Amino acid sequence: MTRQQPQNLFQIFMIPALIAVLSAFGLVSALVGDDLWDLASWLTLALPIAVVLWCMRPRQRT
Amino acid sequence: MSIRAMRIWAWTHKWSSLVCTVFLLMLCVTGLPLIFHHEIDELLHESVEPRAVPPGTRPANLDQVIAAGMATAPKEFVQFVIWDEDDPNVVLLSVAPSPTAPSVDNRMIRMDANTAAFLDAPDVTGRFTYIMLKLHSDMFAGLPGKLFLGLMGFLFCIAVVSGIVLYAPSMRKLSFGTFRRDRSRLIRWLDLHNILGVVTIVWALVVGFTGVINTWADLVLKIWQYGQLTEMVGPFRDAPLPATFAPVEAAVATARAHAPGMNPSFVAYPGTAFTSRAHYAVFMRGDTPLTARLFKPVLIDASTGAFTDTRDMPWYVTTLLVSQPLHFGDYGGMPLKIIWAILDVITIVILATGLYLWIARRRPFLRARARLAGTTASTVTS
Repeated sequence: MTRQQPQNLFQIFMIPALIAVLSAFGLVSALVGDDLWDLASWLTLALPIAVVLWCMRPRQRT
Repeated sequence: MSIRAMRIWAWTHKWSSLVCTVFLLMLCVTGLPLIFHHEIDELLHESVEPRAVPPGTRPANLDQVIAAGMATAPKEFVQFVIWDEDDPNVVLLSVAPSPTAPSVDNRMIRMDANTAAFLDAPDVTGRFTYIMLKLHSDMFAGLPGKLFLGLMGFLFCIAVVSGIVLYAPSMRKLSFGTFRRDRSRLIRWLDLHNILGVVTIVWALVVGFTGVINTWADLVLKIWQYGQLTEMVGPFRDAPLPATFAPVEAAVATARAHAPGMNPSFVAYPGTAFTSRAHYAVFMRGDTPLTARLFKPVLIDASTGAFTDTRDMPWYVTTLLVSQPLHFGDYGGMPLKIIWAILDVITIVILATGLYLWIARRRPFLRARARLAGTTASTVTS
């Protein structure tokens, strides 16, 4: 989506920073433990893949 | 950001990626099967299974296991005794033509840990996974190849960081995740490059940089030999190889007593790179995913079986050991491996779209230049 108002740095990097923090957590969590820690790792590291699929989802043309 | 700063970042992104792209593509393609190397080996190669035993069975005496294994290799010498990480009923003997030979081309003998029976000694060097691993780690070019790939990995990290900086101006007027599907291919692939790149920043940086660290493994081992290992060995530094060897079983028991709560991972024999000429080094490890990677060497006098020293490994070895799982993605079960594979494929797409963007943006320049050259040529000839 194109915007009328240019975004500032905070707006541009808010979501990427959130994904980055969660990925970092996921990379470490499977190292420190098993079971729930593994699960947390799978979910947080699968998030980027889910986000990509969401961005590329088929959309009806308007 | 000033126009000048932008130009410098754009230049950095362009050249750091252009130089490393071909090698990174190779690394991503060979790395993909390596994520599943265990499953692929199991699928492609038969191996003799150890005899099934009830849980809690006492394993055979280690010296018997070693003797039975070495009976099948009369002209060779055992350098490492390794407990198979994937199968507690298997012990591996890593053998070489001499006690002090470099261990890179060692042969592996698989032994049943409970019955001390010989299982098999597969030649892994022709295997698909071995070829992928060699391409991935040093392109069959030894240490120089390894360090070169490390440099390419470092350039990749620079490309990721400069890509983050360039992301900001390119997204000023676009919402996060915008994919302009109705626009030209150049725009669509730029959007794809941005989306895929920005969501995989941390993974790409971690896997990229831990890969770089792994290329320094040989150097880290050397530093450890000259540093901590030399200190631990102390007065034994110039000792000759032992004439007779104390029992390994007892050496491991002594090591266990000096590293409570830990389990042996492997024993390095005197003369190898992991110990002195006079000691067994029993490498102990913990039992969580993290501590299982952090070895603690216990030096045992190989002629008397007496305890010499044990220490936690220094930070630079710890860093290397922790960086290994973070590169391989083998520490969180099959789901983590699958995620690793998908992110690897995403990286391939980022590299490919990046290369396309460079070529496509150059095309108008090239055409203009060709036109200009054509005009000049016709002016000259007329």
